[in-house]
Amino acid sequence: MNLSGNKIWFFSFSSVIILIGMVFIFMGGLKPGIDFTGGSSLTIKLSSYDSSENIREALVGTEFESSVVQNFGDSTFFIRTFDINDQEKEKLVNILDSLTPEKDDLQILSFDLISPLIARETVVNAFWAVFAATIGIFIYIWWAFRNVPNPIRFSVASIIALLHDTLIVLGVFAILGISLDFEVNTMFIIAFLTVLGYSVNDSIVVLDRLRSNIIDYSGIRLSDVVNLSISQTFGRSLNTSITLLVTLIAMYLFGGDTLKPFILVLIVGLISGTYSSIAIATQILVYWDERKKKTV
Amino acid sequence: MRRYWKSVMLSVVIISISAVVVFTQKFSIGGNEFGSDAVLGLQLGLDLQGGSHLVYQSDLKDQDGISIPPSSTQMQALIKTIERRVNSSGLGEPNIQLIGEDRLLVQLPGITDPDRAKSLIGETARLEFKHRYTDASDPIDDSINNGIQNVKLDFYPNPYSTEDDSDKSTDSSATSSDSSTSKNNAPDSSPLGIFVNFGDDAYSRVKTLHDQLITSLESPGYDRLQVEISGGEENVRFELLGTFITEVDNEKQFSFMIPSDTYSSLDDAKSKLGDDIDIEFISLLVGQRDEIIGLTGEDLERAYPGQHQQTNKPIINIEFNDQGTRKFAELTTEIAATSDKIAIFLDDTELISPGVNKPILGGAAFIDSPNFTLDRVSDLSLMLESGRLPVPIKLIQERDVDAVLGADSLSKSYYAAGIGLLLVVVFMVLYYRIPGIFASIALFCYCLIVIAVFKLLSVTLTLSGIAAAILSIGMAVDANILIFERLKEELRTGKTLSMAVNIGFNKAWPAIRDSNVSTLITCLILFWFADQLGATIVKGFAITLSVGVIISMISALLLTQTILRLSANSFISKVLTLYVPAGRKDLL
Repeated sequence: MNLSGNKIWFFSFSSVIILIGMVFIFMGGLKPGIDFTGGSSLTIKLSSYDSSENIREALVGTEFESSVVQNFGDSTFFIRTFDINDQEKEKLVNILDSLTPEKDDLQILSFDLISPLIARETVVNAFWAVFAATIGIFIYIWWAFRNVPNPIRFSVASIIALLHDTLIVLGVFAILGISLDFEVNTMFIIAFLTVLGYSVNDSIVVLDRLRSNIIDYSGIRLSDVVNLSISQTFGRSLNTSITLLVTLIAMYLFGGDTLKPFILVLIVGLISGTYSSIAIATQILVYWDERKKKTV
Repeated sequence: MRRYWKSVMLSVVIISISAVVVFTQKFSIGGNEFGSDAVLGLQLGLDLQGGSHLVYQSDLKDQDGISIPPSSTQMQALIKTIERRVNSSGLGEPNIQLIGEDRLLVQLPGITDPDRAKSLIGETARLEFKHRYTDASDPIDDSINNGIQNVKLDFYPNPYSTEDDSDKSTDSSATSSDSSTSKNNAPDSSPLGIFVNFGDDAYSRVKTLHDQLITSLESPGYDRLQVEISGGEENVRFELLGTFITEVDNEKQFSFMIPSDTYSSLDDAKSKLGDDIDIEFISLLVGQRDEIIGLTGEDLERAYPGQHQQTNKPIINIEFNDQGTRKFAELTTEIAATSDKIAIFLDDTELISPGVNKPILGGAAFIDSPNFTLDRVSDLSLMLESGRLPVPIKLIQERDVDAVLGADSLSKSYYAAGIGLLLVVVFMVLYYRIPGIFASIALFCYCLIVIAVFKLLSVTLTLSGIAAAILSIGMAVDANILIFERLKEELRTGKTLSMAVNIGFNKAWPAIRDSNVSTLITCLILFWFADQLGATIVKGFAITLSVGVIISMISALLLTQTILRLSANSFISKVLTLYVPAGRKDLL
């Protein structure tokens, strides 16, 4: 396997995917949910009712006019609106309840309220969490690879692979945001951080093999050692990804609706993470090594 | 084989303990309760069992309307107040946590009426010191005594037996035809009563008085009516509880019971009192009456637990501000050396009602009681504090989940986890053959240990926690795969199985370690992120994933290695092809 020879293709492929994602992000594809904007959301079940259009109409002319209404199927609807107080909640519930002839057949499955104050903190904290996780991992890899020359390059390579994966996940989510109205919420942040952990996890396994091979085969060109390491870990990378993918797909198909966007992020992140550990993390090391040699 | 007996024993012990823990619904060790009523005795989060998750922020402001941070005592006091209110409302047990310095997370599992809970929690505490009169005597309005029209002596009507009697008399007229005869024939032990008719005005006043006497029976310190009857040479004074006064129907007549030890019989009473009996209502003896005196939480400066200087018993110290000192001095001067008390109320619930020995003019006092314990004293101090400077709170986050939705999510998650696990096992066995079977066994044990640890650490299982648990299964599988791939390589170089197991394992270990540690770093940061926000969903995820990752390392280190080593020394090792992935025989 001469993967190192094709690294330009890998880089270009990733860049194209990321660019497409970026376009969707700039189109406003990452729709912040109430966790980030503040507001309320209500999941209701209106027995034998199946049109979100009528709900939207019923809200026209009220203070809830700008609410987002989604049909979850199975007579279940999701309504997102501003941060309502108890009286406003009661009013909204009454409007919804009057949609069907029978009284009191409205069932509130879940209700969420996030004040703008909390939302602001979530944004700030989420940013710091991602930043702190990145720094923590950077330092750990630097330490774990202290026995090979230029350990910091391994750190940088893993972090670039990680950035690659996060950009791809964000891009895919932006596409889903525009096509399926997916929202970015706390669950998304969790999934995002999990992808972050997995991406590094995967890169480390490949880099670990590279670490032992560099020591065993000193004097051989880095690109060859990288190719050898990748072919040695290829089976493992594929098998782990397949088993995880199988579990995640099972969860996507059979788990609750609330978990679906979360699982989808994990699936995208898993595929991207496996790809980046082979095609990005190690290839950056090769690229770095070759560029250094040319300049000397 | 002998070389590995330690790890074999350890594995067996760990798995057995885990199995016992998992399959025992509830148990207790050293007084700590473990387990619950849910599936496998796991603790379920609000998103799986339904309930409310409320986050409140203190809205404390100074005189100029500028927000000020509450003290930790105030927050503790607030927690006590909310706990007490919710507990006494019958809405279930709240779980209240302090987040940061000025926030409270209130979790109400299984609650169906979150709006009622919210109104209970949001109310601001009200502390009031009342003057409790005991054994005061109120004069009786003259119009009652002036409105007496007719006084008669007879047997005191027993409301229950009279009814019985009249029933009998209608059923069987043979027994008696006249109720007055039956009364006259009653045994001598029956109590006597004075029957009094009142004019219209006096009647309604007596009725009000009677109602008050009856109402006072519901609280400690019963009110009594002091009555004096006179006639002939006799002059008897006695006190009556509300139950010993009966209204005689439709005649504006009341009967007042004469204490049974006064006269031996009706005849005895008649002969002593003569025909002309007089009755006078002297006074109303008030057992207990609380009067608002305008001393409230605003007048209190401080309340804190302490110790009595001489007896070392726990006491509550209270200090008043200038205004409070004045009011408290007036109150204690009035009460001192009487049996009156200071009744202290929080949200209309009585906390404590101490008496007063001597006037307290300096504004500082302590409360002691023979049944004070350290806990009771600190609880009471906190409650006093909560009323002293009540912390207004505002709701900043709410999440209500219906129990039906929770149960639905739970069953779906179990279903998904089961299918996912099954697929992993099928894949591993088909691809890795014998090691795949071993990995499946190790994976099963891994799940057992994870659930056991969840139970022992009382980890609350949330929807995101289930996702994390499944992800950690993936990582446990990854550890196994790493070991098998290395094993395969070592076998390819022509090593014996037992050597290959050892070397393969040692070579796979750094990758397992480093990848899992980096995940743990992420978990740690997630945990911090969640702790700042009180985001239980994120916290649950971080805890579950950490537990999963740590156990996955232990399971790879102990279980997979032990099983592989055992097999390397058994007959299975003769068939090396079984250790090589399907379709890769050429690699051997």
